[in-house]
Amino acid sequence: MSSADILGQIMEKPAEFAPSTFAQRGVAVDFTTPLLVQSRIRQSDGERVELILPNLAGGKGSYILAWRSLVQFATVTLHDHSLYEAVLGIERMDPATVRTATLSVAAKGLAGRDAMRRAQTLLAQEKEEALLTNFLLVVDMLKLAGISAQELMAGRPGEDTEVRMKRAIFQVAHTLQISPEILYQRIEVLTRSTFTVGLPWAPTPGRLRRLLGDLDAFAESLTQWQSRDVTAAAEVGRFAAAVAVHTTTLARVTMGESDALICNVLSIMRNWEREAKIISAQMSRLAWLLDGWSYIVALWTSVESEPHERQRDTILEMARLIPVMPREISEWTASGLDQESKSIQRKWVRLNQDWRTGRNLLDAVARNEVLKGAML
Amino acid sequence: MTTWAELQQLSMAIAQASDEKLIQIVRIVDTLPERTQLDEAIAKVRHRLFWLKPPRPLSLSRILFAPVEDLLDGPLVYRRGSKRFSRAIIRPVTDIFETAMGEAKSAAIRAELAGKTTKHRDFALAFGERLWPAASEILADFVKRASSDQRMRTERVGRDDDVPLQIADMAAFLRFGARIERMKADLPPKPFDDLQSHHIQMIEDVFLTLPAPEDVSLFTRVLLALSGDPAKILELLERVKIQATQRQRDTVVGELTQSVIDKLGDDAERLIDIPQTDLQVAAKVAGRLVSSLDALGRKRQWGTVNVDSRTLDRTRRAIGDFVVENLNRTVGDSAASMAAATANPAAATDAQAAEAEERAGALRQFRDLARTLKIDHHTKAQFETITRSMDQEAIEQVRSAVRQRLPKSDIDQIIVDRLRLCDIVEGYDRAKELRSKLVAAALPSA
Repeated sequence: MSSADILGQIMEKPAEFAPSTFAQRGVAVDFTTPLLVQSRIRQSDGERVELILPNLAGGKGSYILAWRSLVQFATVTLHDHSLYEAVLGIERMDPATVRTATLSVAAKGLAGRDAMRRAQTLLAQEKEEALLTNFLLVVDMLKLAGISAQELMAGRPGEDTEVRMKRAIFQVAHTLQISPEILYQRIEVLTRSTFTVGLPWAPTPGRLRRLLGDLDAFAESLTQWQSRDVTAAAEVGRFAAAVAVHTTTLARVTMGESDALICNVLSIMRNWEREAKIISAQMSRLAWLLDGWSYIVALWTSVESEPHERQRDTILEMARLIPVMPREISEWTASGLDQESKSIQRKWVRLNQDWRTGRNLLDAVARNEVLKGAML
Repeated sequence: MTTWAELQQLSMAIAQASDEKLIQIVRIVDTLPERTQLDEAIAKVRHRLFWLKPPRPLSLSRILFAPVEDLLDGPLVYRRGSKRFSRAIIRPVTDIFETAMGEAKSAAIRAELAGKTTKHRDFALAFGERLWPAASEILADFVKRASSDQRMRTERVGRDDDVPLQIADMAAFLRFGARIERMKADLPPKPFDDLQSHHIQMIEDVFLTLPAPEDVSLFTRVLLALSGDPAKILELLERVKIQATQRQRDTVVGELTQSVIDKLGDDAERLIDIPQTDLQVAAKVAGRLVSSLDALGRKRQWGTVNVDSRTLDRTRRAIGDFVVENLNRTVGDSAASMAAATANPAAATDAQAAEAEERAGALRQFRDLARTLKIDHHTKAQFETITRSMDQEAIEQVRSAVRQRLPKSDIDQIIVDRLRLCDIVEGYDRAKELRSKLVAAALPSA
């Protein structure tokens, strides 16, 4: 097949990419090949997985292509091949499942040792956070059911805490007129959907709550930076800060709603069918809203103490990565950022950069691997 | 009027003069108000004057051009775009400066300089520190006015477009006149071959304080003119920290490399004189040279640079030889490397793993360079030997690790490290093949 044919195959859908929903926008994947960095991946009809790549020539729109076409065309790292295979194995593609797949691949060491250690730490941290969330949910539910912490600690003589807790749960399940197994299951499900954000009363904030804080700092830092810059990069910086602020505002609204709901665990258990769905949807929305920002924040943090020129280059590089809000959000909020993204989100082609094949950009691969070791 | 024959005779006489006579001749020439073609005659013995260092009177021109003294070429030798200066601009630049200063101030400057010679270095530096910033502003202002007033420009400096470019360049140099002079004073005498670590530290300190990459370029041009080994200066520029993005660094180093290739001409092999120990730096410099050569080739096609095609070919060949030489060295080292990995199969430390990856990156770069230089048929065998030996070394290391009953986690780490190296040098398909071989080697029965 000639290179022109391959190009034709890859560029089969050069239409402007304006997703209607988050799912259509796809999930940002931490590839290390410079050409693919933060490309999005989504499930199309059936089992097909599509890769959404920013316009290779730097113009408007994105390319939607099959992985097979991409590897015919570009040199992709071993890590990225492995990551792609892991992503293919995901049943339901969303930011959480893709993140788990990403961390599992990085934990094998294919993206280097720093990224491996970081991934292992993050996976362990996730387990701890899930455990803590589960514990806090149970304690809170018992408290709401009128079983105080003192009662839980005191109990009958000779009983250990676990047995006391089980007995208390039996008591609550009886009040709710469900079996203790179902109550356990419900707590498990609630834990799974909330631990990434974390409970509002948890001693340490969850990952997405922390990311939200980082995003605030990012927006502030970028606003300051763009006021000092006199080039076109200032415009990109301003846009990135505006999208970040827009994202945090929406995320806070969503988080506020879910925090208000989750404060009454007993009510969720009682009205499980309705409230659990709402919470799960809110948490999922938060994950989608913040998807892709972790890399951008880590990228900016990595150059925050660098000279202004280097920061400028990073801003221009960032332009294409800023997560586009899908229509369902942009139409609702009428922020105008979706229109602006059309002029800002293009590639700024640079000297000595092989934008087509990703070859000879080992420094960039190394940088992406380092960032993998610094992301939340 | 001096005829061509007379000038030739005079040049011959000057060239044959003894050192003492030459110093006398120069002293007489320096007292003449108009030197015209005598400058041409003296140009032929400038190298002798450099070593004799006769005291020369400190004129306004000499002080003005002191920071760029080493970048001056005679009008016949000077080439446009060479990032040097033609001696022909000394007169117009001095005139521009004197006109801007006015008759009274110019006379005062001349009076202050009267009786002073190049031996009065401290005086010259102190005087320059006062003069250069003002001169820089005057020249920059002149260039600005000349760009909008063609008539004035033609009257003052003629129609040649290159002259305003050189004057603008002069203005940029004079902004840093004092710092350039101080740096030169701290460096070994010209032409220096090697720089001590404190020299490199001093250069790095200077570079770090410069606000723009273009300023770094100015200082590097002076260094290139002073150095007997320009490749080392380019390599230094590749390594030292500067306030620039990679893109700006690429532009600066690329342009300077082009100017060096152009200047060295037939002697371009000297560019490839890189120490044998560092494969990574060698790959970087070779990559830079190849892209500079490509840029020069393109400019030659467009007619924007008058570089000899023989120079380009010779440099290309020299880089090709350099690539082959580095590959041969790597092939030569592979037996020792395999023996070491078998004897001590433990997983590499973080630092060792990072270094191995850098070396693998350099090998990959050499492979791409070989393709660009169209010498891949020459280097194919070496690459095959290297990659085969890398694979074999990986298998032996894993086998040895199994024999020595290293923990499974260590063996897994060795496999991942080796796969990453293979991926960097050869890509995914070969890494996939190697993975199955290594997994087989890791089985206890293997």
